[in-house]
Amino acid sequence: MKFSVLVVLPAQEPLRDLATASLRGRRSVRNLKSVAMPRGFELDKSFGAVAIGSAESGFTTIAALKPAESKDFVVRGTIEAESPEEIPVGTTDRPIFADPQIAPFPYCSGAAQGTVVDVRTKLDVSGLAAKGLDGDKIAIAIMDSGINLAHLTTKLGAPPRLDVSNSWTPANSTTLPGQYPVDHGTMCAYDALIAAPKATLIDYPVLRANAPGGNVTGGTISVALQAFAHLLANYAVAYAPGGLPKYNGIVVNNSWGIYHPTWDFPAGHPGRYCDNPNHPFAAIVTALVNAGVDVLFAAGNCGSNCPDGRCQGKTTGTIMGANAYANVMTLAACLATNDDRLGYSSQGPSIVNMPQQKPDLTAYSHFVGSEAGGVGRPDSGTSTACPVAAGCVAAIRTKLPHATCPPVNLIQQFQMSARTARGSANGWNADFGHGIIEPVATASSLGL
Amino acid sequence: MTESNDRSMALYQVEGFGKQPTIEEIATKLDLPPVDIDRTFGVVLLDPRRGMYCVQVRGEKPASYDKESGAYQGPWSSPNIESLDDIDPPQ
Repeated sequence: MKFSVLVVLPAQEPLRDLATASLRGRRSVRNLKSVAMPRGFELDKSFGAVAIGSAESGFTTIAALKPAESKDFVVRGTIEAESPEEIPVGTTDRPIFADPQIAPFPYCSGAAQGTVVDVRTKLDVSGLAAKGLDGDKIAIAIMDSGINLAHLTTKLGAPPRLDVSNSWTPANSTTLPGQYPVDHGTMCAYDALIAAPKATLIDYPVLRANAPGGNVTGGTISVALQAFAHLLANYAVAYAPGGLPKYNGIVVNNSWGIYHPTWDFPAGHPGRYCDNPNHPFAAIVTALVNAGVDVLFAAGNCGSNCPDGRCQGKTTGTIMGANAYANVMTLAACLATNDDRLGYSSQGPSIVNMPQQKPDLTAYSHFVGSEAGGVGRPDSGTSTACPVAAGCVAAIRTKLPHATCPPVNLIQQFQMSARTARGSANGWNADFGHGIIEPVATASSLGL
Repeated sequence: MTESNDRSMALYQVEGFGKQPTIEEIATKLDLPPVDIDRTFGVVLLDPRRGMYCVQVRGEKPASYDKESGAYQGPWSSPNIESLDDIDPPQ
């Protein structure tokens, strides 16, 4: 087995030339056969050489780092060994050093990283607009804590499109669509419009309904089920003129979930939700998807590096319930500034008995955007990644009818067009899914 | 920390109805008293192709199975759900 190693070699003219060529971005044509190498070491010429001044510890001047002056050079190559333990520590007084893989540290700080401008740039929103992909005549249902239209108008400089008549009001609620307190739902609405500024929002305050427990920004699956049924009925069953069929597509954003299985019936109960693909909620999601509606869910915030306290320390199998359904797009979160995974972003595989390869994709979060949580506070969590992706879906749907590309097929197109995050393997992985969402590449792959 | 699932209400589903059933018809199929079915929640359509509907039922009831197909009808869990943004660090 070959192991990548680093070796420090004393100055030799071929190495000086190799290092100079590396700095100038060109290839060295010098013959390296005369360079004294440790026995068994195979040089990687593509790496070049790096002048390090003197390998002895102590202060090294800048001048000593020049290839012409440097006493020592680092080169990379491989050594053959059965196992890492059998790699020699050195040969002929030249130590051999490890060359371990490096990967970005997941981000766990509370501070925002980047702004909505970074997100627009990374998503290439102008590229989408150039293709005419802006969400026009597409509705995005924000299943959340309600939207505050006035806040969005202030942030966007103009009122976004909001369909009040097709929005949903929970039983016993007197708040009108678009007039909810500035909160999580407003954040999600803002983020959904990043890639699809001309989409129409529909307000579904499922987290604002008076659920048992009284949590203002909490709900229950039964409330979500009612809301989904309202959407299904208005879109695909019995609709009035001016109803949801006037839109060319419907996208549903769900930045919610359950944090721990103890919130559910006990393990093994036939009526359990979190690991049961036969739950009634699965039936209604499937009915909606079969009607051509794109459904997205946030993966969750129980990532191993810095999980939310509500995860109760559980960081495996945390993508549960609807967030793990096969026919929804499940989103993990990363920074827009450098693609580093957000440490709280839930990792796959899903809870046992649900489709395992979740999340599907990764989108951007933790940036200054809506400021729904306060000035300078980030739009955060996989809650934010989900509507960022929902906007991408809405943008694509501007010119892609669901009859041409059903929702499950569109998820696959996004997966195939995703960008592999640095430090992660190609294909699906537990941190990023199939990779970071690339709406322009997806659009191009679909001929848009 | 959020309280775990409130067990005072549970979901039940029925299948095979050609048109929207009444609460009384669903109560008969579930072998439950109609008064235990939450009329505020109502009869919710799950899947028009399968004639599948859902109701919410008060109180803890025994498991219910469709007499013809044997399919499990409830109780189904309705756990609390919460938004996935503000990160509460572990205590």
